[in-house]
Amino acid sequence: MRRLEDDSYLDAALRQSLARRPAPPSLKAGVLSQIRRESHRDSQRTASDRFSWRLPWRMHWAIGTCAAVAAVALIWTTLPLWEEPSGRQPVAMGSPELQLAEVLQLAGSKWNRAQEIALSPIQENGND
Amino acid sequence: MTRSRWQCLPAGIALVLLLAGSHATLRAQGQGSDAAPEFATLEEKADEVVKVNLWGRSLDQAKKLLGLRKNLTGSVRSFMNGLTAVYRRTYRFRGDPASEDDLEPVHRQLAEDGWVPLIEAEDRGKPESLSVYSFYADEEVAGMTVVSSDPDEVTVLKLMGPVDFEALSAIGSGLGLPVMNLGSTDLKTIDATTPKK
Repeated sequence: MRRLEDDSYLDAALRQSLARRPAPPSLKAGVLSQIRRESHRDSQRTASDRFSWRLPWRMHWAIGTCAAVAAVALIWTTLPLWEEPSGRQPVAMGSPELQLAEVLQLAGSKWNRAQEIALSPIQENGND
Repeated sequence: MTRSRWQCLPAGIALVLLLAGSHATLRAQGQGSDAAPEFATLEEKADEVVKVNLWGRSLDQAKKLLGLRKNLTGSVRSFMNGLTAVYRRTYRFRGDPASEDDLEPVHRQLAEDGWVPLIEAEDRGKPESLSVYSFYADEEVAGMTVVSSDPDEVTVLKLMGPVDFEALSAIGSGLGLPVMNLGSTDLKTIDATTPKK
């Protein structure tokens, strides 16, 4: 099997075979060069096949890296991972229920106050 | 194999873009932790900051517990249940009072986020101003933000969801929500006794 893969062995065997046959030397030379070209092409194809597996793996890493970067960016923008150290800590009091009630009451009172301020000049004009 | 991976690449890019787009949409609609209003200038200057973020599970829990209260009127209950996110930012100033320049980034940020001014009121007798903004989605009011300021305190309240202004007015008058009567003065007292971490 190794002998068949050996170019020099094949070349010598071919020469011997062609020498036994009655054929013009130019034809013999043409056949030999054709066989060498084919052999060279095969060897090149084999070499490229050896490296062909690397391309998908490179792509795999590229796709994986892109996905990881996108995931990290998404998490970074979504979650407040940490806050800058500050002497003033935000005060959040009570349960969510109390907080909701408080915010609604504040919003309601400020809405009423805004209406009161906004409408007061009109009322004064109406009284005049 | 290689071709199939090349075919997967646009799908992956599309997925990432879709996630980023949905993230931006959530931000615009005011749902999620990243939609909470943050005003760095005011926060740096303030001596005391109160932050309330209610959305998702915490808001659902709050609505459920508040809904268990008696004497809750139907309109208030309906308004409350429609809320999708509630945020509060209160900045208190002891020494250096808040100025118009400190408030300008707040109004600018709200305008950039698509909030439309509904009422802009200023009491000439007092250094007090109140601005009410509304947010529209499909020509319906989908949220409101109140910005109130006086020299000692700036408060930003953001309510996301369909807004029933009559129910809100009733709540503000102490009707429909029989929980507690906490005005800003009372809040200051509670805050002052809350130990800082």
